[in-house]
Amino acid sequence: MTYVLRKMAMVLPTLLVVSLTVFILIRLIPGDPVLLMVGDIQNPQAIVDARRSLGLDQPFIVQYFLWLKSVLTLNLGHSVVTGQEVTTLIADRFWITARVVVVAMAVALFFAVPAGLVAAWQRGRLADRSIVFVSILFLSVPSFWVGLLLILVFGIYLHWFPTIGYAGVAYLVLPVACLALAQAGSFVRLMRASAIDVLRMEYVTHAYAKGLSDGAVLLRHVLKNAFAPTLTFAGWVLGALLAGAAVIETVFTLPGLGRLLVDSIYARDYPVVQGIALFVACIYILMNLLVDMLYPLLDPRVRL
Amino acid sequence: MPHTFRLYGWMLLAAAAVLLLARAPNYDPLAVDLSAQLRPPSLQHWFGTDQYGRDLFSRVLAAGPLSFAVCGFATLVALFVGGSLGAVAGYRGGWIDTLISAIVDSLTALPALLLALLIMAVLGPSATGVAVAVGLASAPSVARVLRSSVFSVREKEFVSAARLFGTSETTIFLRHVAPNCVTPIAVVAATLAAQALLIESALSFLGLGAPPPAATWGGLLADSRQFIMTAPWLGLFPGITLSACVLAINFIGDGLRERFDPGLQT
Amino acid sequence: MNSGERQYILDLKNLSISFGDRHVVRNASLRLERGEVFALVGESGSGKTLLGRSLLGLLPPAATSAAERLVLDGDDLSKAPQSRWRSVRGSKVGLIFQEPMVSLNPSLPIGTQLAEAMRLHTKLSLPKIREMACELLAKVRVPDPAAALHRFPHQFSGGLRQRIMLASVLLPRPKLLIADEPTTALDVIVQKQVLDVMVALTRELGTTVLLITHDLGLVAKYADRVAVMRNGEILESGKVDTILTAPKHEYTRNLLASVSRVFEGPHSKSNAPALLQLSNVRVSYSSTGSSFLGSRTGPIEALKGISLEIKKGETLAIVGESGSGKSSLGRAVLGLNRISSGTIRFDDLLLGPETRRGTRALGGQAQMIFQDPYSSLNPRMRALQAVCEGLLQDRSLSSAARTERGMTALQEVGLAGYESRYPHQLSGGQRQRLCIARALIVRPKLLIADEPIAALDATIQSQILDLLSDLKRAHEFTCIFISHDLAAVRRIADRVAVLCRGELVECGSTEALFETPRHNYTKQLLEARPLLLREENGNYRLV
Repeated sequence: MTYVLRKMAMVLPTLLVVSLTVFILIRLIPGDPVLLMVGDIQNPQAIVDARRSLGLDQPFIVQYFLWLKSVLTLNLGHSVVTGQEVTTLIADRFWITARVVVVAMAVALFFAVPAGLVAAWQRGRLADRSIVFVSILFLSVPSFWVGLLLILVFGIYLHWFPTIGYAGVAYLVLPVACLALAQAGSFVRLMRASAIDVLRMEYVTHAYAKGLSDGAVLLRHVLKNAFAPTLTFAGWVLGALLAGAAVIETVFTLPGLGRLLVDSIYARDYPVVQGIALFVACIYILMNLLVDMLYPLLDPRVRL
Repeated sequence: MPHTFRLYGWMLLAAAAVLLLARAPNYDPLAVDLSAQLRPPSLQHWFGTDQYGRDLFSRVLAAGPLSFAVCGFATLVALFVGGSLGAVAGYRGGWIDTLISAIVDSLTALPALLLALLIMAVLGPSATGVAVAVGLASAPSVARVLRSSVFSVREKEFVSAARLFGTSETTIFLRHVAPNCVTPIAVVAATLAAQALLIESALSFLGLGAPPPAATWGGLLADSRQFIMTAPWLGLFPGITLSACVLAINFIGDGLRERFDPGLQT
Repeated sequence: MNSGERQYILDLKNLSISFGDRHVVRNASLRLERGEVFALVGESGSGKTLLGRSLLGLLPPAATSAAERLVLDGDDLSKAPQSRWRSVRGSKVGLIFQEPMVSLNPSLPIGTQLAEAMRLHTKLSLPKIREMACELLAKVRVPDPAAALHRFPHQFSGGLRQRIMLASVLLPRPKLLIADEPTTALDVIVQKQVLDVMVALTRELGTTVLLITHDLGLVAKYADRVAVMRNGEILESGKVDTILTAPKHEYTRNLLASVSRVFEGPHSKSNAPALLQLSNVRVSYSSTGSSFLGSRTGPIEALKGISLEIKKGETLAIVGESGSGKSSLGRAVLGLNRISSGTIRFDDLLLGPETRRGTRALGGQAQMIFQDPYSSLNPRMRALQAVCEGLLQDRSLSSAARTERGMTALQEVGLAGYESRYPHQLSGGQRQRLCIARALIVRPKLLIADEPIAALDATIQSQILDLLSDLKRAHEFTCIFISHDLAAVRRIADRVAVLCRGELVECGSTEALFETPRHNYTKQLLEARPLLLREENGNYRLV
């Protein structure tokens, strides 16, 4: 029980630090959103009014706490550009991003976990070298370039998949493939490293001494123990991808959360940027909490 | 295997260096030649030309130094900021460690790209800005690695032995702890550099990188997007060059990691 | 030929194992009789582990092996393919080895692991297997076997885990059990428990045991026959009694001699002044892993009020098992750990709970040599640099003077010519010599040796102990020797203090303690550790 409580207790300070950082950074961005909003600079009274309504005339700390208060009531403010509620905007865009990211991760893990195991098992031999080479290759290639290539080959030359916008599942195939490729590389690397560690453990020699075949040893003894660090990493990656998907979404013109973030930065849309950053951080924290909950299943030494 | 990979890495980088210093059919990367727009690769223009008739090969070459400069500077920033925080946290322990660790751990909740985006928004578009943004965004992971590295060295018995002679803490740090943290730093630095190149190119691709006319490979890739159907070579070559460099750095880093990880060596 | 087969469970002739062109086992031949306990003795690098592994066909992939004859219970396995070995492993031959911490898969309950070999080699039903497992667990004295089947390895102590391993390996009733250093990682008293259980159970089941060990005391106590191995060759073999009374090979004689010596040096004068006085010293640690919410469990008291006096010039041994607090005591005396209450008087210096930077206060008058030769030297410093480090505090010494003193120090410990080597270029024994030189170069009044020889081979241990005695005579320092190894203690110490769970249990002269121990715990310790003693006629006997 203490394990769970301890993990949950870390959430609050994390959120505070994150929200403060985001808040400070946003405030440091040059450019005055009020002017953007009001448009007409000729009317000083309108400007003052607008400032007051946005709460921008208050001292910094007060602004921060006011914002925190509204966040806790799930009110993230309104977009300066469109006037929509930030929460609605995020909710609309989030599902596309989430779908792409989650499926991409699942695909990446599906290929990476066995690959990492095989590479560790065949350490130093041809299978290992090829797997490592390919995974480093995947790691090194910028995801947006892969995206461009995929568009070129599968979208334009082969006409297999649509490439722009979003109007159905088919539009997600290429983005998912693109993201999965990039992630697979780092998962393989991690899985291989932890499998190598596990293979050195005495209980693996012991399993062999009982007469188990390679396959049985790998599946029954190595997999579970080697997967644990990869799972932790996957949780972190999931959170990171929600923002990193910005690039993929730009390439494939998907109406997702990342694109919204970038567009809002351009447009100096404070509330939206703030809201997204905070949202992403929350998802990351949630994901990690989930992973922490799942961890005891893999490693009984960690008691729930 | 690690040695072969490291070798490939250095070889690739050497090739890149040679190319950068080489004199191709001498075109000014900024020279506009409207008579030669969007030409595919040929003997005159090895990589083809872009929409303004500029020679792509020269542009790719010219973008190299800037890309590397940003990457290098970002790595230094990350190493310096993250490194100092991590070292202090690891060596002092106690409440300083708890404080720094809490902050660093919390900052990892903001993905590097997001953090870089935000910092860029504050600093405005400029090459230095990109370097600083990427560097600061990567600092938390450096801090973590260095903290655990310093921590483990600190517990070693030769440090206790040094204390028994009455050596001051600063001297112990400089004489014993720091030199033994060099190899983990080298590995982290390689990973950082590769990641910095990628993040920088992503930022440029999103239009938030160094402003024109200074171009990095990411920027070239961004420009190529609109011509993807008509002139695919515009995206192909900068991409290959960028990937090759990142690949080289990753090979070196991986080779270092395999070599210095105790126990992984049979 | 048939009667021969029936008599010998293992007939091994001329086994050779090599890694490339490096031969690690050369023409080794062994014959194991059914039901006996056969010990294979050797130091590190002797090839004994590899020999054991080859009897399971479990050599590392880089190794090549060939044997003229390898007959296991009537089956000729000298050219057997892996599939043949897989059917033999676990069912005919079992392996139990050193680290109980990692020899069981931490993520599977022990019931599953116990059943694994049975399900592979037999067609018995799961309930039947479970029944047999419970029976065996009861025999190895695991409490509540039925419930234990569902628990995980980390819920058991080291000794229990090793016994569970034993049950797991013996469940399919193999004919041969290879025990590779099965108790080296365990405390002395636990060692005895595990070995007693092992020997009793194998005797009951009629299993032959190949006990691979470096510990001659264990051999004398538990084994019927023994073979001595060095550098891949079997030097001699025979009945244990015969070997103990008339060892043929010089190496065997050296080995026996190094583990059986008693204290020979001059005893310190009993009216010598006290150099060190501990009064009711307590040391506690906050539990590891200070979490954000503060430590979960309370502080651990490593030392619970120790009062001890150490006279100038003597060698006091502090004996105890893991968790006894002996290391904490050493570190507290040196100021490396803070004491939570009580006082330590070192000469005219007083250390108490308020003292910060105790090491500074002592100013190098006390030095320590540590157990782990790997982490006690900076891997980036050459031998000469490492040795001279202590001298750097003295600003009055010139660089040349330092170098000279460093070279002398290296010579004293027998490392002349090694001054430019890095630690990884030195053997374990050489590293420990370097540490000794480093500690003694500042001419400390007190030297604390914390398990200095535990990680070394028997013959090297002997050399280091001799070195320490010689240096002590030459430089006249006081020595505190912390160890769990009673044989070493018997050899080097004037007086012995016994610690048990942070408390001082008994303290007296070495002779008195070994001959007539008073406290129960001391008696237990002595009983558990089989010690060899050399008699006047040159024989060795077990005490």
